[in-house]
Amino acid sequence: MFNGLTIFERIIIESLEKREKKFEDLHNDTCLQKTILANSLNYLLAKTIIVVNKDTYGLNMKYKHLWQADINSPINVELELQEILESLLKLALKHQGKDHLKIKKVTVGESDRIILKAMLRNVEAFINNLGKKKQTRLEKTSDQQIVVWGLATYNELLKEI
Amino acid sequence: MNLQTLTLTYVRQAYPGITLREIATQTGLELTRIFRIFKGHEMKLSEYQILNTFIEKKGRKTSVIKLQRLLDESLEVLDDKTINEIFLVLERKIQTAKIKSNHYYLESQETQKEQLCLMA
Repeated sequence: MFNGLTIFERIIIESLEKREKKFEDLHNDTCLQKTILANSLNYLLAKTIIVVNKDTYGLNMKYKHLWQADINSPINVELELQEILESLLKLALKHQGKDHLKIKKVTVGESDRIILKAMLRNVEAFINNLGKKKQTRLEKTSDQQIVVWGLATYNELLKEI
Repeated sequence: MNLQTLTLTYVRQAYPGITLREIATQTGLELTRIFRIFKGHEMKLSEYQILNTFIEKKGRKTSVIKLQRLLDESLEVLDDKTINEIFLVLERKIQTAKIKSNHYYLESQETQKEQLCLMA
């Protein structure tokens, strides 16, 4: 049991999924501070999720079936989402008026609700299509966009508290 | 309110009822200096720094006590599922803080050695 991964470790794994990298390449691709990167790498090594060959880091494919199931377990995915949403919220509060996170409480009539849901489905289809497009080798992992969308009624939210 | 008055007010707030002698003992400043500062003599930068650390120390201590109280109360009031949620969030915050600090590197190497021993 790995007790989940921090967002730092996740980005490293995503970067190494593309190809093996040296420390400097990882630093360029993830844009993590060097201390954080070094600590995260060491932590991932300790968890046997990654391996290091001379000075090149790569995923530990031998034990992938073990660590992948664990880091993608529902509780660990929930923790990751919590971390992302928390950071998004902090970012939005720090830079109000930008498009980091918009939340609105609004009464929506039946016909408008149908329009709104259709628009959200369009957004979802558009984003899913983006995911299917092939990435170029030059695209940095740290430049990936994290997009959040969705809606819920007040009542639905209250039931989850 | 100037910085000196503000600092002395914070000392009084952080340590209600503390005597000048106790402040002197706990900060290492001379009693006569403490007396003069509280009477309005201008304090030196080094004295300001010492008193500031003294206030911060109390602030942290208060937070620790509050956290302990909250944890005790949560064990009584909350169900196992919610306690586990708090546990995981705390664990995650600690993990992130360790990764961001310079000390974690060494600790992680120890973990790695332990892990390798277990696998061997």
